[in-house]
Amino acid sequence: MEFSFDLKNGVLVAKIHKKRATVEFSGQLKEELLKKIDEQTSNVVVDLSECEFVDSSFLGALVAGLKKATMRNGDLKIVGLQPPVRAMFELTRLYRIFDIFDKQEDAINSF
Amino acid sequence: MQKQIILSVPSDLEYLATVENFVDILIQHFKVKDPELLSGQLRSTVNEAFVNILKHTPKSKDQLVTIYFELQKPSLLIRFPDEGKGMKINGYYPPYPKKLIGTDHLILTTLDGELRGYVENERSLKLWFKKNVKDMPLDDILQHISAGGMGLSIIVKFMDETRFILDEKNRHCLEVRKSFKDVG
Repeated sequence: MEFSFDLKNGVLVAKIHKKRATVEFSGQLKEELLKKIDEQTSNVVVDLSECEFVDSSFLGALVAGLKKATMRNGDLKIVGLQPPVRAMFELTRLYRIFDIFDKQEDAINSF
Repeated sequence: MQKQIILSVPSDLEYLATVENFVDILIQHFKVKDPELLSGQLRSTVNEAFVNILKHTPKSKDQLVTIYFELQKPSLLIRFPDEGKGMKINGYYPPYPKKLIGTDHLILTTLDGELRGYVENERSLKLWFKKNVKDMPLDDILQHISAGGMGLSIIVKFMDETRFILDEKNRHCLEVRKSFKDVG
């Protein structure tokens, strides 16, 4: 299983279970994430604490999720950046548009 | 001394991790201070380049994608040939007309700047990144941000030189060079 969804305190939590978050499943993640934002809630947390590597396709899926969530007056927040993944957020300047937390609980409570 | 290593894998995303893992074997040839940092940069580069080849010049899965690694210490040169037409500049595919030589062009816009291409000669377009002087306001970013092109800009930022070239065998290639200042 590459990723899973859970509803915690009304917040959709998407947890990535792979060390490599890449184009190999980013399309499927994006599709399911957008559908859940439409059908459930636009307050979303994506937990990347198990990821050690992300590519542009995966980052694109997160951006698509953020756009959808904000269009519906919600937000998409990120949790658990390991150093190489944090470096990618810094390189692409994506850290500017995502709220980033260390702990899932803090991200959920921030809504 | 120049040494070449050639990696051929089926034209299938299933081999993406194989291509990424290969760079860890390669960097053993370079005694750098921070092999993890280098590994991350090269993994991202080959990931984005390999995916671009599959996306823009798809082949059937039984055909091969070949990547050429040249160890030219103190640098590593990687070529990714594809079967596309090369980068179109002002309506022209390479070889570019003489009037374009020495001209600089916007390729795409990202969150923090512009990816630009400088026509070095008829057969080479050098990519470079022009960083925004000021950060775009957050509201504007959310309105205009798109994931497209992020992969190429990642390559340009991680590598010391990035070019689209028409090589000596008339193949269109993405060519990147990474220099190692702290080679042992």
